[in-house]
Amino acid sequence: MKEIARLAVYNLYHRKLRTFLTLTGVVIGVASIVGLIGAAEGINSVITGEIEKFQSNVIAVVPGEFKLQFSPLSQYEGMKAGKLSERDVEEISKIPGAETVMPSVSSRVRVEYGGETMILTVFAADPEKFREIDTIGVLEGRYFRSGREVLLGYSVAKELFEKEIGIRKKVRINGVEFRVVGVMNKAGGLFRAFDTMIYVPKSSAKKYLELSGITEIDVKVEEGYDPGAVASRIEEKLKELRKGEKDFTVISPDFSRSIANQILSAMQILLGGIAGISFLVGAIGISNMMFTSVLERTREIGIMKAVGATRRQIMAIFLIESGVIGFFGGILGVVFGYGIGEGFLALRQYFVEKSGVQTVVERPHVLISPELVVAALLFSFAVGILAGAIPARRAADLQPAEALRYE
Amino acid sequence: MPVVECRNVWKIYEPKVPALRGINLKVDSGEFISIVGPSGCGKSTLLNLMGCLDVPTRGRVLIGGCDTRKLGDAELSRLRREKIGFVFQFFNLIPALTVLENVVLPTVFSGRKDPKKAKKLLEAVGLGSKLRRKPAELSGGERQRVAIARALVNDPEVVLADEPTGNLDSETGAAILDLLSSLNRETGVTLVLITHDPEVAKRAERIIYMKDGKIVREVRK
Ligand SMILES: Nc1ncnc2c1ncn2[C@@H]1O[C@H](COP(=O)(O)OP(=O)(O)OP(=O)(O)O)[C@@H](O)[C@H]1O
Ligand SMILES: [Mg+2]
Repeated sequence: MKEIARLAVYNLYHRKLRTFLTLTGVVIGVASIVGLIGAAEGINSVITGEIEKFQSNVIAVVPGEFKLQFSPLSQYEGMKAGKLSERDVEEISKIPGAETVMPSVSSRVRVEYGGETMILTVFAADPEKFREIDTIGVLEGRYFRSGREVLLGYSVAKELFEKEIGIRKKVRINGVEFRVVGVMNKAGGLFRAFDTMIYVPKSSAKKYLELSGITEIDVKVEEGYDPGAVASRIEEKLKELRKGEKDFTVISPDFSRSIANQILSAMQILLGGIAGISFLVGAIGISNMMFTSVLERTREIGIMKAVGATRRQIMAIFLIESGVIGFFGGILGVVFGYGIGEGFLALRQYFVEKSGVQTVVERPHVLISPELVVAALLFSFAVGILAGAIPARRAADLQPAEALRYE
Repeated sequence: MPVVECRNVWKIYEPKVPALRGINLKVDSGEFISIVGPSGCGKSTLLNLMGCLDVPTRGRVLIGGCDTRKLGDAELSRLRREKIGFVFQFFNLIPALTVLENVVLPTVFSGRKDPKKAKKLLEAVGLGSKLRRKPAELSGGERQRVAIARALVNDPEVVLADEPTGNLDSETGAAILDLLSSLNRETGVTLVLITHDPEVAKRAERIIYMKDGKIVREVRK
């Protein structure tokens, strides 16, 4: 048996070009499948990571029925005000597990600084509650307390205006002068929208900016309570108050995740389809190579049978050959697949940046799970063996005299 | 008991080409037989059947008294390996393997790899210095000597040679024939030789004349 295996490896070595070509077919097939799936996994993990990074115990209630859109958390602007009431806040506060309930109002306002004017979103809430609920944190200065104090999102302070805005500077909001008391940390990623907002006390918004009503209710869930369960209690309660009509949306961490997952699985199906097709092409390539290579050697099979090789020994030689090709092709395919995946992601990044569509800023990298590696290796090994076995069997079943006559 | 026996052997190729039509032949141990006849009369077909490289359409081939019709792949392979050595007109060496490896090959398949024996045989046929060459680097006569060494490596009872000199010039051919007939004389291995050449045929103890798939005459010296 050892000698038979050596013969097989020997054959591979002595037909370098054929071995190389066949191997290339396997590598392409495996690499494309591993690369694309790995890339999809990478994107998946970045998005899931983003969602998990923030507010895993904060539930947001917004007016209007939420429609599936690509970037759920940057939809503040489109929401109509006025559908949430003080009554809703009171009722939510009574739900066990609702530790802090923060009604807020946001609106588009004119912000002037250093001769420049921008239209930005102002977010107004109770100072105490805001400090409790906020997960982004303050980079410089402090949270707002009262009066005409404003806290700036990271981008507002550092990037949007020609001149950076530091603390103690004065900005005009809808013509009213406010003093900058702090700058938030950079939220980035899916939460980039927070960086372009400004934050003021709710009372000041009412007094100086004539902003009232409630456009969002944020609920911090007490430790030990399941945010998902609390979210559904809130949903039930609000529905009850509205006599069954659902003109609001409860965004729980689960909700965000499930929307992200829907998008991701759509993407994975697409990529999986592409990868599947490329593997099919690869598999046909392998089979074709194996087929011609075995046919080419029909005469050799005849010689081996004439000097006493059994059918099984001949099969073993060819199976080892094609198995080795399948196996090493699989390994190389995984390695090259990593490269292909990275290339694909780089290309994707380029187009995303060019179009400016998406809010994901962290660049995803290929993620190759052990399961993917094992599956890819098994698959290419199996395809290699099968592709070799069928023609080898046909040749081994010939009478030696016939095989020897083969040109 | 004959080494090889054919009993009323027919071979009909598709579609309806009767290559052999009722061959009866006994080959005794240690004999040197030659088979002659015009091209297409069925000589190669007969030799292939005697060597279990093909199966007859009708009749039986017995090797050492054993009916080959009853044997499966494993037993037939074993017969080819242990009792029969083949020498072909076109050498039929494996191009990727060296001279030595080609000769060792049958012992690999029998599970008793024996490079020493292979080397000894190659030395005996005068190729001791070319063990590591590839077949493509040898002359026709040298290749045929490699094939002969390969045929002998498992100590067969019979060597079947199908026009072993057909592809060689007369001088080289004569040397190969000398080698084969001396092997027959010295080791007692049975030798069945196909040839076109009446001079070559005359070196055998028995000459079988074939025509149209039949044995038409036998001459014994
Ligand atoms: N595989 C085959 N299929 C069909 N016909 C065949 C096959 N092999 C041989 N034949 C035919 O059988 C007959 C005998 O062929 P064979 O090769 O035995 O002749 P031969 O005596 O060896 O001839 P040569 O001296 O030219 O080698 C020929 O008519 C040949 O065409
Ligand atoms: Mg012939």
